[in-house]
Amino acid sequence: MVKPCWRIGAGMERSKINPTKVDGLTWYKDLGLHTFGEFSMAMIQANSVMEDQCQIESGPLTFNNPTVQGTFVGVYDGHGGPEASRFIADNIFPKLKKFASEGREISEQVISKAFAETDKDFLKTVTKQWPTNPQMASVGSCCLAGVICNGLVYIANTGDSRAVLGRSERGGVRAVQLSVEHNANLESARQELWSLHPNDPTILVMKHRLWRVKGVIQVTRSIGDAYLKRAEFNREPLLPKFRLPEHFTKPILSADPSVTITRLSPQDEFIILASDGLWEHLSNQEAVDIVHNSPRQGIARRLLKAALKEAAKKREMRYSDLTEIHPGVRRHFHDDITVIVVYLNPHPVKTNSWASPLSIRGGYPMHSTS
Amino acid sequence: MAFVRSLLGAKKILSRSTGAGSAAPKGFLAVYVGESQKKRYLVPVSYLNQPSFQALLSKSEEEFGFDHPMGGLTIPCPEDTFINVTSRLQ
Repeated sequence: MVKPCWRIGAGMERSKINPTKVDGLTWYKDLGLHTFGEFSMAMIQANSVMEDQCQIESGPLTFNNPTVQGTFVGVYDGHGGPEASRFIADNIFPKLKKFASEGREISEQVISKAFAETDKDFLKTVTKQWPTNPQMASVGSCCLAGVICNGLVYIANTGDSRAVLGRSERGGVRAVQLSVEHNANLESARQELWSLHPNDPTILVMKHRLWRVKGVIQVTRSIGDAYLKRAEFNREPLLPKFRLPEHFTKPILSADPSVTITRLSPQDEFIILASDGLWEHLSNQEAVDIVHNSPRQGIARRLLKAALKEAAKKREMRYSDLTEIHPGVRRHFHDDITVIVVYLNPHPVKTNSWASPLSIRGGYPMHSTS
Repeated sequence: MAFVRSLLGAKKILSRSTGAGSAAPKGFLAVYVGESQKKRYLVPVSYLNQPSFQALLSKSEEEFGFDHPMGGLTIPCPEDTFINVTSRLQ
């Protein structure tokens, strides 16, 4: 019943230039070069359809100012289906370049506008498909984007993926979290929702021992999830489990990213960007220690394996047995996981890399069960 | 760790053990079964491919999502149902 349907990267031409590999449910690129250093990527599928997507783009960040060079990294953790995370992977970087071209530079506003327009356009798609495919209204995605440019790292986050910086210290490395997360199980996210919806006593409901927005979803901000943004989508024929009993006028979820800007110092060794599937098994410090103490080649896959070993331990089984479990039922053991490690060099690695921009996309249809 | 033979008596496919939190032997995983009190069983990993066992897991998804409260897979059905389903699996 498991149909392999391999389509790696965004196209064959691209994957010839930047070969990426697949091993069972794992997709990876063990080591590559971006404008400011090396990087490593790995993903593993647990859902019957892979809902995570990721990308790395390195080179010019505008269409009209060749001096604005940098690296863009995106981790998109979809839910309810793969459509929203795929939409983000197709659209957010071109939008970022478009807005960056207007002011001929990267800024917090440029990144936020790229998020807003990606969400707006996805909701347009939902509107278009509503008559034939109403379930698109319940598809959404977290969106974590990092931009490294001009000695700064911008981390923009909508949802609960996470970016962690590894900063070297006497004899070791310290984890510095760069992303702000939006999950109802964080006090800060709950306070934000309660203050935005003071007259709604059921804005947050505890269900299955976890806080959920309106009792249905853990993330408090996202791209997509049209059914929680516009009441026109919160009606039949949407599945009953997504339909809210009462009408709403104000969007319940927002797509606004929380943006942090950090000036890089020579002590800053690397950044790990990963979906929550990794962080539910590894702490920030555990993850940066692994990266600091291991070879760069294949570091993303090493982090993935460390997380899966923890998952196996929690489920009281051997790691070797966990690796044999098929997508779908596998979701009971761990989530889809995406991890990207970006090593930092204070200066661009080599000027000739500017001539050949890098573009790698991960997570496009891997396995699908029918 | 006390192994018991399956109802069919053919193979040691089902076993109960008290060693909560300990790793299962190769090829097996822990399952916590019961409505209020949970009993720990060890079942072959191959059960995960069986539709009838997956149906039990769907029940637990309805109740817990994917966050199994005992750590190991937690199936909130009556023990009889669990034994009934698993005794039919080879």
